[in-house]
Amino acid sequence: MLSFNEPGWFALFLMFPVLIWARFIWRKRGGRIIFPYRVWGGDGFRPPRTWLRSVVVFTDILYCLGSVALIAALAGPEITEKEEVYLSRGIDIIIVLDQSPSMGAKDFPPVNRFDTARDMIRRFIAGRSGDSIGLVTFGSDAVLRCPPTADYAWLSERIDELELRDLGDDTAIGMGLAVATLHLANSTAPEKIILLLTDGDDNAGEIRPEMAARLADDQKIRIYSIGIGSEGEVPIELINSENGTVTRGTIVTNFDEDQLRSLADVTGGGYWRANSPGALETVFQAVDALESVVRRVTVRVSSRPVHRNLVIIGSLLVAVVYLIRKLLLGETP
Amino acid sequence: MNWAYPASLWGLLVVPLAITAAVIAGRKGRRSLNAIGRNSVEWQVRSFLRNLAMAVFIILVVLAASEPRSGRKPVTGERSGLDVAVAFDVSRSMLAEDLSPSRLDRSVTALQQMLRSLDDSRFSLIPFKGDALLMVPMTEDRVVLDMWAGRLGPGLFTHPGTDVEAALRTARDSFPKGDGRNRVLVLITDGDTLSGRIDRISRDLAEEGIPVYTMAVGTSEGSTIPLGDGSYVKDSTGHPVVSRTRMDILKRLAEDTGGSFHELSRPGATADLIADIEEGREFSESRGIRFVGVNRYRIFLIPSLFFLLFFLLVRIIPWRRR
Repeated sequence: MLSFNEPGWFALFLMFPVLIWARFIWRKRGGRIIFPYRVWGGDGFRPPRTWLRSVVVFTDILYCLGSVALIAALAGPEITEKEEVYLSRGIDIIIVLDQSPSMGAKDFPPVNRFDTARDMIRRFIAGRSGDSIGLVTFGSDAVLRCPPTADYAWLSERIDELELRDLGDDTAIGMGLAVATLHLANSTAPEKIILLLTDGDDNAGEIRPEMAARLADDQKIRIYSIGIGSEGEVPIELINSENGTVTRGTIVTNFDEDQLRSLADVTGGGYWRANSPGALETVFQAVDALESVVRRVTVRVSSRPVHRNLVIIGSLLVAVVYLIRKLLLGETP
Repeated sequence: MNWAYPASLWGLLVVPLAITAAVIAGRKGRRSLNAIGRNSVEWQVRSFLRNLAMAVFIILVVLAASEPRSGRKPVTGERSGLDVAVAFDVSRSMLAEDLSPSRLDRSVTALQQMLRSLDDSRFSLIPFKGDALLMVPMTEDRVVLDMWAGRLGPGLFTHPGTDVEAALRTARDSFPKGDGRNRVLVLITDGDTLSGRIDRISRDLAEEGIPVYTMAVGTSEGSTIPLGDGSYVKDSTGHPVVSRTRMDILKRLAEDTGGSFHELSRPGATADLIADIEEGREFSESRGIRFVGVNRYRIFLIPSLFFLLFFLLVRIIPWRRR
């Protein structure tokens, strides 16, 4: 939106009618050369309506436009934008995502569990605002991919970079939870949440999930756990990113429902199972709805000055008119 | 006073062009006036005044377009909390040992002190060399920040150089949108062979009201840069390269954006820097205002319009009563 910070300068436009009258209509103005152009009683000559005449008119118009631009610049034009701003602290969320090979199972169309989960996470992030969100992934080990941040663009880049089997072939749920807890420990957020997505049993790592859950509970962190995967045999396809070989087969995955539920119960969170992409989406919506806190929002107006463009346009117009008239028309004075 | 767009001052070259045009047209005009027998002092004076008015107009309007800047003006806006983006120089000259044990080690210590002192703030970390990278996004997570602070070093990038503009731009972009927090940028650099258009990014930061606190690491006397194997970095003629800190650039940057300048070689510099940041934040939180840079283009644009009017009037006003 365009606005002016000192619109009073537009009053200068009041001079325009006077100046135009003086310049073009006033018969007694100065700077006129009066000489007879008509023989007594006979026909006179008129300035021929050639291109020269139109150049004069054209430059007059340009000169006017130039002055208008300069006066408008004087009024301080700014482009203002309204932006919603969160004044209160949002919540902190760390998403703990399973990166073990079984996430390559193809029972979650269009691609596999892992890509569907990533998609849902992206959508979840897009729906939040003002919260800090981080990402931990785990296989045989657990790694913090992104600390809790409101810089969602950076977080999305990290999500895009993820590749299956980066972290080995096991499932260290306990390690994943522990890493997330560590990075939430000194947060000042009113609510701290871990969102665990896994499709398997904890079978690696030095920290058992129960232990990690107790640590999380000590820090007042709630764990929401989501079990992914359908029952029975499912086809799986893994692509080795180094040499491009594709491994296909079928696997039976099992997650320990009781364990996931107990993790959630110990910390006062919740447990869901998602056996289809639709169910997973519903789960994310549920989490989203559960974790909305009331916060103070204000609208901030930010402005970007644009007067400089007008100064440049206006001065160029005037200078060009001057040069045309001097060099092309030989105007004097 | 300094210019926000110093490059625009080249526009002053239009003045000699306009004078040339005036001289050429003036000669031709005099001949024409003679031809109709109307050449007089009146026309000579009018012609001179008009050309003079145009020349002055061009000078003033070019100055207005170069945007003189001085002082800062307050704008209201409730803000709470503090976001600090730290741009950290990891160029090879940071290995110089004019500060003991080395510029890099001292800077890392200063950074860690900041992380500890400003404990309820969020930080982002942008190491830079010939290139800049957002290593840690704006976060409160001290574990990650401490970890990366310990890993800073010239090995992070292969691209040589010290591109301050890229660093400041990346740092500016690391402030999340839609946050009502105070924003502060800290630049830790040895200020040697800086590249990038610093005036451009400094202008943007001043307009947005993001102050840059600069920490100059090193001394203006300079020092050679050890390679770690007992030898020193040499230039093409075989002489050891001496890395000196360009204090003036860093001072200007801090001044233009409303931050402050500190020298790490002075005792208590880090504490002063932290105190300055906290003071700025307290001021903003208690008074609900912060400062942004002001453009004083009007002081040139107003007289330029006056001369434009004069340019028009010279021809219109009757010379004498008829």
